[in-house]
Order: sequence, then C-alpha cells, then structure tokens
Amino acid sequence: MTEELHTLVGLYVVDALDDEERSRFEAHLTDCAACSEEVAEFRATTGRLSGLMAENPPPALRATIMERVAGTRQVSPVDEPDELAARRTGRRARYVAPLLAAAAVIVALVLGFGWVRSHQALDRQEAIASVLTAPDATTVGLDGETGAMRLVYSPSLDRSVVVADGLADLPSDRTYALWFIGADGPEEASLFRTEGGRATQVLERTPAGYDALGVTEEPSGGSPAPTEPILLVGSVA
Amino acid sequence: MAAARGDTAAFERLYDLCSSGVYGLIRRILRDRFQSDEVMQEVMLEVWRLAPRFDPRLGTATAWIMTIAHRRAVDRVRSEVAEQGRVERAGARAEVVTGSVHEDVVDELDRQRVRGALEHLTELQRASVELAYFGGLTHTEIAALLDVPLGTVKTRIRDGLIRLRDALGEGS
Repeated sequence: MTEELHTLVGLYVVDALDDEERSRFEAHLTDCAACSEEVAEFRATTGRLSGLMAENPPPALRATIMERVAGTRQVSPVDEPDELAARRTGRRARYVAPLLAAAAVIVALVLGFGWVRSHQALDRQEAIASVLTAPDATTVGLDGETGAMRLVYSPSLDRSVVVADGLADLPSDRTYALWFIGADGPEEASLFRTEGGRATQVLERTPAGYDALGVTEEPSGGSPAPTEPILLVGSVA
Repeated sequence: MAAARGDTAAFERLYDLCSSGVYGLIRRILRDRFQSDEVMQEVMLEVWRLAPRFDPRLGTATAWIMTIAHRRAVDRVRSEVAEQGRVERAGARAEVVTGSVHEDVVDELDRQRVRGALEHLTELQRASVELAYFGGLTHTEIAALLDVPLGTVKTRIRDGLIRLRDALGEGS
C-alpha cells in the first residue's frame, strides 16, 4: 500500500490525481518524510516551469485584490498546521522570522535559494526586507555571458540589496568586484564571492546618481580600477 | 492586527513581483478570461491569508505561491459545468509558449535554463508533464489522450520531474 503511494508523488505535484486519490496521498504525506522531501523538490521544479507562462494580469485586478486584502484577516502564525500547510509540507508548519508576513515572502521570492538555504541572521533578513518593500525600491538588472545579478535599491533608506546568480565560484585568492560607474569613472562599491554560483549582499549605499553598474573579477583585496573583461553590466535608470 | 495592516504595503510589492507568473499559469490552465480573473483573486487572497505560515526553510516562495495557484486553477477547470472538449483543448495546446511581461522575478536567464531542461525529457515525459501541469488534466485523462496505459503516465511524469529537477539543480 505504502509502496504504491510512493509512486504517486509526481502525479500529486502536478495535480493530476483525482480528489479521492489526492486525499489518500495527503494522508500518506503527513507521515512519510521521503515523499515530503520529494514533493518539496518537485514543487521547486514546477514553480520554475510556470515562469514560462508569464502574462500580465489586467491592471484593474490589482486594485480589486488590494481592496479585498484590506478586509481579509491573515491566519495566525501558530505552530498548528492548517490544511494547506500540511498538504504543502507534509510536516508541521513552523514559524520563525518575526518579519511582517508578506515581507518575509518577498524576501524569499526575490532572493530564492540563496536566502532560503543559508538561514541568514534575522537582522540581515530585516535589512533585506526593508529595501525590497520600500515604496521607492528600484531594480537594476545586470547581465553577462554567464550569470546575472539584480540590485534593488532604496534611495530613502540609502541601502541596496545585491543578488548574484550563475557566476563561477572563484579560487580563494580571487574576488568579484561591483563597480558603480558615473561621470568620474568607475568606483568600487563592494567585493564579493559566490558560493554555488550565488551571492547576496546588503550595501549601505545606492547607485542613485550613477550611470551604470559593472562586475569584474579581481585579485582578493580588490584593484584601484576594474580589470577587463567586464563580466556583467547594467544601466541605472 | 497592526502588523497585518502594515503588511499590506509589502503585499502590494509582492503582487507586483509574482502576479505575471501566477496569472500566466492560471490563464494557461483556464483560458477563459473571466474565470482566470476570478481565480487570480482567490489565489492572491489565499497567499495573503496564509503568508504568516510561509516557512522559507520548507521550500521557495515561488514554489509555495505557484502550488496554491495551480491547485486553485485545476480545481476550477475540473468543476466547469460545460467542460466538454476540455481534454481535447488541453491536448491541442501541449506546447510551451512565452508571454511578454514587465518586471518579473523569473528572469529571462531562468526561462532559458528551464527551456533547456525541458529538452532533456523524452517526448512522452514532456507531453505527460505538460498536459498535467499546463493542461490541468488528470492522469486518467492523459492516458486516454496519449493512448498509453495508466501506469505509464504515472512513471513518465515522475521520471520527467526527476530529470527536470536534476537539470535545474533543485536536488538538496
């Protein structure tokens, strides 16, 4: 019986089971750690598949939804799984971050795995959340042949969050450098290293007033000027 | 409740970041504009309502939101009163297309990776995954449409997801 239920993981994640089969599988999930883990992994996968389908909703829908949200109570963050949390995880729901709830979701949404996996300190999470949820938050994208970076900054907070993904991890005597490029030429904004291709940084400054951003590879400790080639580039609006 | 009130500003930002992905998926499954708009409202309200219980250690935010969206859209499409032709329609569009969007969490780089990963699947794996995920069909319907045994669909979907997961580096 259990043997048979294990094989339903794929069908469950893509919602291809009928109602009765789904209920049986969810009952099984509550006490099968292996299946719960596979469900979580497959959901990360299907979540990315859905990115292929992006389409902007009608603008009027946003106002309607915000109006309804204002009149809708959130569930309490108690350690008691509601039905959906149980379905989602197969484990008891746990509440950790004392962030505002939607802010916490945004942090995870924007930063993805890097944040999820590394269990950053709470004050850092809050610094990140403050930038991502600031009313004047602005996003700059940087692209290159390999890898990409996103810098979100808030002029009012004078703070930026930088997320890099897909960059090669460097040997210990090398580092990446982020440059703010303006009328006076490039200025080193930070040095960073990636782990598994990813990095997340909080900067207590913003590229407001500069024209462009660039990333180069440098000897550890940095260089007075960028060393060619420029790996990632993006313009500041 | 003070926290919840303050959280609405954050939710607006959340909406701007994920709405095109959520709406695209719902539209793909439901097609009908009016129904898609209704389900979009249900999904975003659900995300808002359950946000305090979101735990990033148990999965990504995108996965969490898309799971809610997919389930709601599928439940709606299966409850359609006039559902004649649903299976045939799903079959006719078992092909991934890309919409155009403005600010979006899922950037072009990620789309390219996902498209590349889909190419690692066999034709039957890919068709089975797409009919289920984008078509909203049950495994029984997929088996009938592709004219293969039930057990085959079950294993093709799981094998397909494993290949996608590995190609996208989601294993832990």
